[in-house]
This record gives sequence, structure tokens and C-alpha cells, in this order.
Amino acid sequence: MVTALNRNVVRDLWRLRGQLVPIILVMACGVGIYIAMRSTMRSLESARSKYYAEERFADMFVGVKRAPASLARRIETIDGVQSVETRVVVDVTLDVPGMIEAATGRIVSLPDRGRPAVNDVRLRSGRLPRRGNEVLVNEAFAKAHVLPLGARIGALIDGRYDDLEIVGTALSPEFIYAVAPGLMFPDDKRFGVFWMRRRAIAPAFDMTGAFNDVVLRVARGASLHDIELQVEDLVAPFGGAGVLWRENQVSAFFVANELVQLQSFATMIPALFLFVGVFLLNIVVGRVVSSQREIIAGLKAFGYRDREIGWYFAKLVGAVVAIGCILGVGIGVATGRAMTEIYERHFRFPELPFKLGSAETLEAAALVGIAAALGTAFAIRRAVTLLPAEGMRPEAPPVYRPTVLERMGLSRLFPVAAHSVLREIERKPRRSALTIAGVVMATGLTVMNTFSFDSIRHLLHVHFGLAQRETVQVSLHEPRGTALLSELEHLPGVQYGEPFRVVPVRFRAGSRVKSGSIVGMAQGTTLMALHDRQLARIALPVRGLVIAEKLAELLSVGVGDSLRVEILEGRRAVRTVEIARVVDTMMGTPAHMELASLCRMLQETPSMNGAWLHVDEAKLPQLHEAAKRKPVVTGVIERRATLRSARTTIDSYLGSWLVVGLLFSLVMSFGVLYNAVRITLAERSRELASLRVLGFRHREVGIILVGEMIVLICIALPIGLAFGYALAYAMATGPGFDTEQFRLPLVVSPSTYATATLAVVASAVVSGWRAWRMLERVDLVEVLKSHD
Amino acid sequence: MALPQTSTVFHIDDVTKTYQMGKVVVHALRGVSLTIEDGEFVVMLGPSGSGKSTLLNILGGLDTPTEGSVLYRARELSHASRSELTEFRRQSVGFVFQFYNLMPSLTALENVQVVTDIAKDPMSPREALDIVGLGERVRHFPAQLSGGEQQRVAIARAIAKRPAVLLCDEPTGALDVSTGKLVLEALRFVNRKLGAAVIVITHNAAIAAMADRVVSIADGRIANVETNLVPADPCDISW
Ligand SMILES: Nc1ncnc2c1ncn2[C@@H]1O[C@H](COP(=O)(O)OP(=O)(O)O)[C@@H](O)[C@H]1O
Ligand SMILES: [Mg+2]
Repeated sequence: MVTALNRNVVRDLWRLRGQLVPIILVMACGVGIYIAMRSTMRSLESARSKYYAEERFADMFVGVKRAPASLARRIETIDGVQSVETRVVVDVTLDVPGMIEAATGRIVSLPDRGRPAVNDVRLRSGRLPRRGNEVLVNEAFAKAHVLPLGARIGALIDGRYDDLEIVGTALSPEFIYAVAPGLMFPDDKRFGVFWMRRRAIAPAFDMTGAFNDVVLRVARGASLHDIELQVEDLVAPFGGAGVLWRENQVSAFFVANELVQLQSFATMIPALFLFVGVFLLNIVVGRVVSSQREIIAGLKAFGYRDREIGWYFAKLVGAVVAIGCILGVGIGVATGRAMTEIYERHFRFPELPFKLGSAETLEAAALVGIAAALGTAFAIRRAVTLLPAEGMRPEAPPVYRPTVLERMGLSRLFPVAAHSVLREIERKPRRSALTIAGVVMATGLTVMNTFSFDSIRHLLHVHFGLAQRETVQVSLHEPRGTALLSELEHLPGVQYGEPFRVVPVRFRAGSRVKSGSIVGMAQGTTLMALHDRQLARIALPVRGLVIAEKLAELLSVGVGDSLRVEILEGRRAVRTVEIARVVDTMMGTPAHMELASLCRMLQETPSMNGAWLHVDEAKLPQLHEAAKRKPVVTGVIERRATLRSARTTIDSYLGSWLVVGLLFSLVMSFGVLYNAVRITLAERSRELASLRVLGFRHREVGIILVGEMIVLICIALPIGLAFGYALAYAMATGPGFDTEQFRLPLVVSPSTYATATLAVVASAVVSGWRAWRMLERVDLVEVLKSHD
Repeated sequence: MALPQTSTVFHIDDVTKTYQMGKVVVHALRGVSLTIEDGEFVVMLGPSGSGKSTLLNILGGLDTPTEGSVLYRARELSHASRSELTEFRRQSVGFVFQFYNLMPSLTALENVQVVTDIAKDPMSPREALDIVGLGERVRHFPAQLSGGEQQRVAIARAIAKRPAVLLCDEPTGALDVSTGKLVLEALRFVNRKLGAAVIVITHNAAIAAMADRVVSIADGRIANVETNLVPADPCDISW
């Protein structure tokens, strides 16, 4: 039955639409973001576990120098090991048609027959390689270079250029996030993965009947630690470089880390929206109850029960929540799709379908419902407990007082209209404070959303602009005497070069262990510099290690402590080295040492396995050409090109997030401001129209209307920007941004603050303009007829 | 504004006003012609719904007639734009309403100041409040004043700009007799001392005694015009 009271709920909704629409929008965004982020998380997680399971993704990764094939059997017999696949994995220099620079190719062997037992590939087109130089290539690389099936790519294998023939494209759970060694961002043009049959690749690297990489799957419930120890014992004689657990495998790490980041965003952002939505609802329902007290009293006088009155308002709130949730599901699906699409571009899953999570949807609805109930309970209680006789009397008139500023004697500074605005604000401190809080949150949200852009750009600038100064970095197939440097310096365009030596090691401090490497560089090196976070140059000590703070933290050591260093190549010596300095770095967990003292530690004559070269840029093509023909050179990385590519990746990836995030913060600030100005309009339009009658121009009363909003924004913006900085701080130091791979520096650029300010100003302009136009339409004659 | 006694403030000719209410046409004014001279105190009398407010709003530039002409001095108001009407009200008209329409967030003094801030040659807000006998209560907010006091603030606000005409729609409608009289006295004072033409709308016939001229309106037409040769003093009136 449609009772008169029910019909009035609908009418009230319609009458209050100006104030309710912003609330509904804000709530819908909160619900939408919650649903989108949580569902996307779910979709990502399930796509990942499905993919990992179907392609038998490894639990452990072990690199060795060269181990006999028979070792595989012994690993297999370790308790808890389910399956083992030994492989030959090598990085080679590629000569891609149409590309001047060399690209890096990682060749991963496939067993001679059939499929690998661990880390299988997912064929996307073509077929598996059968013989000779047939390869599968990772789909992203093929797409980046528009390589058709049958295309050939030159690869420098065993000092000889061989053509690899592409017979298929593939994906692999090992390369969902395909990033070249030492880098943070995928570069599909410069890094490709190739799979070829083992017999085709093994001879060139002296791996016939042997392997240099082993991946294994572990039975459920088995102790990873126990297995790790046993595997290490087995591989140690063969140059084992330490066991990498799945969680530290680069691709798996980045995928997992994305989920961690998503998790914190999926909590923080919907919470902000929920808070803002509920406080707006609280304000509006509070006002409705106040303005309808006479009606409520009347209904009670007719015999309506308190409960029925309570129901009335509960329905009003319920309707708002329901509309918000329905709209929110729509927003959630759209946003979730957009997010999934962004992920699809950066994480290579065979399929990444977005699935709206029903549990997530119910959770969101329940959260909003509870929050709205709590937020309006007090106002509804006032309606329920109102005594009829009390309600019939008009409410006590509002009390105005001279404002704080006036009491400070500053009143002369303001025109009369400003007094009116300021006193209105002071009269309702709670509402003003909530509006300020809303703007603060919207501003903070924009800053939090945008700052990662600044931070990563800063990180790139420090890493590729300040620390690394070389034109190209050359890596060598194996360590050579430093005499090779002059040979490299004779390559075309090279003006001078500086050697470095990278050696894989395992650091041990007490019971803590961490695999990594030490980079040795010569005293007086100019093409590479060490910095701390404050960007101060750090001199390379003559003796001892300079290690990243993160590494020190993982090993729980500090300056002056001694580290046991197990060298994972050559004679596999174990040494003790003192930590000379701990540096706060942003990428990886590097350790540096003076080249000569590193070589002494290795008991080698001065040697190098790479060099930084300063090159005449005009001669770069010739250099690349020459380097491709030089067997000892396995990689030539152009610093500028790497930086450019990383920037492009970041711009496209974070740029997409930025747009989505900005849209949401716009809705929030618009919701808060439009609601505020509509309430001002509802409360003051009569008064302002009276001024129009007295001959005030529309412009003059319009200013009073929006003045309140302007004042509140002026108070809120600086707080909001500071709040944004605090949120950014929380993010940068929180999970997902303070990792072994990278630590997001906390950098908030002026343009980020400007964006946040602009978003608020834009919302204010739209809201103010709309209210301004509505005020213009208020009928002056009508205003004079009624007594409020 | 000492203008010659003979000059005409308003001259309206055959003014009609109709409102379309869905399918029904409401005739609020059915051809009203009237001239009002400078410094005149005119009372418009008529039952509720007869069209008094409609006429006053047209004179005050809040509304425009459906047909007919409205001359203020020599200026035609019936076809003036919204902003021209705003300027007219701003410089030349003082309004007093039944419900005072003060700004609750401003003190008495500031409510007057609101208008003096935008007028060309205003008196000081305090002077205006002194005229209506509220010099002592300038710092009070409307909520702290009685109805009569609020109405007197409204009058002070209306006269502070030294308007040529003061238009009052049921100024005593919400007041009891004694406070009503104080308000009428203030109007009278403004009329005599400042020389403003005053038009007061009322359905209260007793007030007519203080007018120079009484215009009776019924059903959208002028039913009768009477001239009082000896207008009564407000304190002698009672209702
Ligand atoms: N905006 C309007 N729409 C429709 N009818 C109106 C409007 N304003 C006034 N009227 C009608 O015009 C007539 C005259 O109204 P009004 O001038 O307010 O009378 P008075 O002031 O003498 O009481 C009334 O019948 C009234 O209902
Ligand atoms: Mg009237």
C-alpha cells in the first residue's frame, strides 16, 4: 500500500535532490572504488594462481655455473621436491631488424622433447620449436617489433651471429612482468625472451649434458627452508648462486607487490569516500529533521507513533544508500574494467578477465549501510524523541555573535557582507568543519594519487641522471683483465671508459642471509657516482663495502660491522669484509667496493666484466654495430634510451591511474562543495533575494552566496595539501612501496599541489556557478510573500 | 532631495497584470491609472487579494506590468531590463516589507550599512537608526530585537539611502497596535522631514486617516480616491 507518508518520502527525495545528488555520487564512488579494486584484486589473484598452476610455475629458482645433468636426479630425490626442470639460460645480444641498438635476449632452453615439467610456456601463436635455431619469442617483444612468424633475428651466440627463426609466440608465468636484469620497468623493445630446444643452444655455451639453471616445484606443506639447504648443498660444488624463492623472483615479486599496493589503496580510498559521503548525509538529514520539526510534531499530534516517524527518516536514508549502491556497482564495473585493462597492458597474463565480485559488492553495500545508519542515527533520534508540544513551538532563533576576527578588532578590514559570511560560518562550526574536512580529503586524495608520478620521476632522474653518467654500459661475457678497457676505448665514438666488476655473492650476518652482488669500481670513477637520498655525493672508501640501507636492514648490520661474503663464482671463496658505509638508496640492494680491493678479495689480478663508456653520440650507431660483432660484449645499454623508455612506460601506466584517480577526487570535491553551496542557497536564498529587492546587483549577492564556500576552501586547501603530503608519506613508507626492489622516495612536486588545488577550484567554480544561476532564478516577489 | 512640490514621481496609465496559472488566467490588475506626487503620503487600502501588492511591486521595479505604462519621473519602467530595474531600486526606492526581511547574521547597524554601502548619497547608518528611535540598539542582532524594533530597523534601512519613494507593504501587518504606531510615526517623520513620497499598503482602514491621499483598490481596479485635507497624526489613530 502506498501510504501518504511513503509518497512523501519520494517527494522529499525529489525536493532535496540538489543536496542528495552529490551525496549519492560520493557514496557511489566509494562503493564503486571498493568493488572495482577488490574485484580487480580478486581477478588478478585468481588469474595468477590459475596461470601459475596451469604452467607449473616454480617455487624455487637456482642458478649454477655449470652442473652435470645427473644432478637433476639428486635434486628430485630431496624430500618435498615435486618436480625439477634443468635448463640452460643465457643472455645474448640481439640484432633486431630495424633497430640500431642491440637488444638483450634471454634464451631459455626447452627440453629436447615435449614440455618442461616446471615453468611451462603458454603458446599464443605458431608452434613449439623443433630443431636448429627455431625459437618461441615472448609475445610482447614480437608485438613491439611487429615480428611475424617466420621472421629472423640475429643473436650473438658463442661469438658467432646466428639467425633465430621465430616459429611461435608465447607467454610464461616467469615473465608476466618481463624486466631486464637490474631494471624496474619492462621495455619490450629492448628485452626479449626466447625459448629454444636445449640441444640447439647447449653446445654453444658448453652445456651439453649440463645445465646452468634449475627450477623446482615443491610439494604442498613441505618446508622450503629445508629444501633450500639441501639444494644448496647439492649445487654448491657447481657454482650455485643461491636459491631464489618465488616471492623474490622478479616477475612474481612485481605482480605480488602490485597486489599489496592495490590492497592498501582499496582500503584507504573507499574509506575517504565513505567518510565524506556519510558526513554529507549527516548534515542533510540533520537539516531535514530541524526544518520539519513542526510537521513531525503535527504528525505525532495526529497519533503517529515515534517508531513510524523514525521509519520515515530511515526510509529516506535507505533510499539514498540504495541508489548510491546501485550506481556504485555501475561505477565499480566500469572502473574495474578500466583497471583490468591497465593491468593487461603491463602484466602479461594469458587472460585477465574482470569479474564483478558478489562478496565484494555485498561488503561495500553493508559498509555503506552501516556507516549511513551510524552517521544519521543522532538526527533521526532527535525526530523520534521530539515531543509534539515542543515541536509546535518554533525553534529558538539562531544566535549570531561577532566573529573571532571581529573580537580581535579586525572588523574594519572587512566589508559588511563579509561579516555576514564569516558569522554564518561561525554559527554552525560543526557543519563548516565537516565541509573543510571534505575538501581536505579531496585535496589529499589528489595529492596521494599524483605524487607517485613525481616520486618515480625523481627516482629515474637520480638513478639515470645523477648516479649513472655514462653514454653506454657494456657488459662482458666473462671477467677479463682491465687491459681490455683500452680495446673497448677503441670502439667507434668512444672517448673514454671506466671499468667495473660485478660479482655474485651471498651476504651472511649471523643467521641472516641475502643473495646479491658487489659492484667494484675504480677510485676516481666519473661515469658512475654514489649518492645518498639527500643527493650528496659519497666518496668510495679505499677499503670496505658501501651497502644500501635496505641491505643493512635485511641483514641487521651497520657501519663497522663485518659481513661474511660468500663469493658465488670462481673458487667460491668466503671472505669477511667490513661495512664502511651505509647509504640510503632508492633502487635494489646494491653493494659497492673499490675495484682493486674487490679484486684482491677475489684473489684475481685487476679485472673487469663491464665498462661505462663515454661516447660521441653521433657515432652511437657505429658503436652498436661494432659491439654486436664483438664476441666478448654481451650487452650494450644506452642510458638515455633506457631512461626514455622507462619514462614512457611510467607515463602510460601511471598516467592511466592518474586520470581515473583525478576523476574520483573531482567527484569528491564537487560533492562536498556542491552540497555546501546548495545548503547555503536553501538557507539564505530568501535573505539574499531580499537584498536583490533592495537594489543589490546579482553579482553582489552572488558573492555572499559563494563567499562562504570560498572562505572554507581557503581554510581547507593548505590543510588539504599538508594532509596529502601525510598520505603520500604513509604510502611511500607503507607496504608495496618500501620493498627490496625499490623504495619510493617521497617527492611531491609543485605541479602536484597545483593539480590538487585546481581540482578543488574547478569543483568550486562548477558548484558556485550552478548555485549562482539558481539564485538568479529566485522569484523576488515570491520571497516577500512568505515568512520563511 | 528637495524637488519642487509639483513634480510627479509616478505616473501610471492603464496598467494591467495577469498571471497564468495553468489554464486559468488570474487578473491581478485590470487597468489602473494613478499619479503620485513628490512628498505625498499615500495609503492604498483594499481587501486581501485585491491587487495592492501587485501594484506596489510594479511601482518598485520588482515586476513589470502585462500592459500599460509606468513612468518614474520621465522614465518608462514597463519595458526596462532586469538590470535597469535593479539600478532603479538601488538608487531611488526604499522598501519596507511585512516580514522585515533583515539579514539575521548582521547587527541593526550593519543591516542599514548594507544599503548605505551601495547608495550614492546616503546618510550615516547611525543617523538613520536615530530617526527611527533605535540609536541605542545598533549592536543588536535581529533575533535580539522585538518585531516592532526589527521593522524600524527595516525602515531605517529603507530611508538611509535618501530614496525618492518609500514603498511599504503592510508594514504594521505583523505588529500590535502600540508598536505599529511607532512604525507609522517613523514613516510619517521620513515623509515630512526627508520629503520622500511614501506609499503604504494596508487592509487596515484606520491607517488611512494619516494619509494625504487614500486610494481604495478592489478587484484589481481603483475604486475610489480620497484626499485628506488634514491628515491625522499617527498617535491619534487607533485600531
Ligand atoms: N505570482 C502569482 N501567480 C498567480 N497569481 C498571483 C500571483 N501573485 C498574485 N496573484 C494573484 O493576484 C491577485 C492579487 O494579489 P496581491 O496583489 O498579492 O493582492 P493583495 O496584496 O491586495 O492582497 C490575487 O488574486 C493573487 O492570488
Ligand atoms: Mg499583499
